[in-house]
This record gives sequence, structure tokens and C-alpha cells, in this order.
Amino acid sequence: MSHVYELRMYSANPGKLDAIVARFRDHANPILPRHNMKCIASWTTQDNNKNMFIYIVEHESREAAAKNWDAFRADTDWKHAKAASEVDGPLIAVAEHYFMDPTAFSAIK
Amino acid sequence: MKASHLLSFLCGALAVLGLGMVGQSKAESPKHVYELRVYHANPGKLQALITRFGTGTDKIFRSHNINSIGYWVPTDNPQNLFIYVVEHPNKAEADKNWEAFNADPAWTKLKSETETSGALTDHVDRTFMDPTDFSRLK
Repeated sequence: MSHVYELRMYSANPGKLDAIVARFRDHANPILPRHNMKCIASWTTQDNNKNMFIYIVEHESREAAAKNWDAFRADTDWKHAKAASEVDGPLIAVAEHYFMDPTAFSAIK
Repeated sequence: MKASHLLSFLCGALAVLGLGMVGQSKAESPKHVYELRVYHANPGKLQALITRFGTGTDKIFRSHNINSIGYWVPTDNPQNLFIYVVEHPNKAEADKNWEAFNADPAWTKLKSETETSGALTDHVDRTFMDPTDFSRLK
């Protein structure tokens, strides 16, 4: 059965992109697998005007995705990391996301 | 003495081999440039767009070194989107790849055949991206 993929796009607050990447590398990325999420790739945009961090997460199903994120947000390690990283204000200005089903011919399924 | 000489030789050989392998693995897996493309399909044209990718476009992409890593359709899709990510060796190659693709007779033929009753796509949002150091795909 196909997995559900989630494309997440974070527009950084001014000057905060590196902090978003570092927080993801040091905290979110290792915590995701605990809650049944797998990050298949992460990127930063080449166009500096976009100032975005983009990644794709794989979930077992759409129902599992909601549970996975609830568990992630309740994770004590994540809560600490988030609070510590935002003492000077939030890092993310706008977060967009799409749940997506792979097509039959998609290399990643 | 002989044994220790042999040991130091082996350590040296392993170190050289190790360094060689590090160099090699770097050469074999350079960072690529990725392109996120979000297609806003015209009303009623999403399925035709998906079919065109599955039966023709993706194959033509590959002949121009545009390597797709995934094609998706949003689960809830009020905007009628089709989303995919392709990989290029670098940005300069990406520009060349797209030029070659757009000029390919196989593509222009497929495009005109599938658009006799209008364009399938209203517009495309393109974003070039560099993988992070910790990304699985690089």
C-alpha cells in the first residue's frame, strides 16, 4: 500500500533560516522517527528572496499522520528544543503543507 | 619485529585505502540541485495532466537527465494541483536540460496532441532547492 507524503514549506522570519535548519537537524529530524515519521529529504531554497526550508515526510497513512504529529508536538524533547530556540521570537513566519498521494508511476511510493 | 612491521604497513595501507574511499564516495555522490514543481491544472484537466506525465512526459524527462524522484497529488485538492520533484546535476545543467526538453520533438508532439481542447496547466510554481547536509537525498 502506498504511503502518504507530506510536503512542508517553512518561510523563515528574517535572519532565522539557519536557526530553522539547525533546529531541524539537531532536534526535529532525530525525533520524527520516534513518532513513525521519516524525513525523505530536506532542502533550502536557492532563491534567497524565498528564504524557505522545505522537506518531505512519509507517513503510513493519512490517519496515522494526524496521530504522528500529535505525538511529536507532545514530545518533551521537542517542546524543550522549540522553547529554547524561540527565546528571541518564532523562527517560522508561515508554514504551508500538503498531504499527498504518490501517483502510480512515482519513483517514491 | 616482523609482525609489528607488517602491522604498521597494514595500518598505512588501510589509511590510504580509507582516504581513497572517502575521496571516491565524495566524487560519486555530489550534491544535486532539486526542483520542486507545483502545477496548477486547468479545471477538468488534472487527470489528463497526470496521464500525460505517466505515459509520456516522465520518459522524455529521463532522456534529458531530468530525474524525477516523486510525483504526487494532494489528498485534499481544491486547488487542482499536481506536485513533483526532479533532480539535476546542478543549476546550469538544469537550464540546459529544460531547454533540450522543450525543444524535443517527442515533447512538442505529445503536448500538441494532448492540448487540442486547451492547455492542461494554468501555471507552474518552480523552486530550485539545495539539499541540507543531513538530507537523505543529496
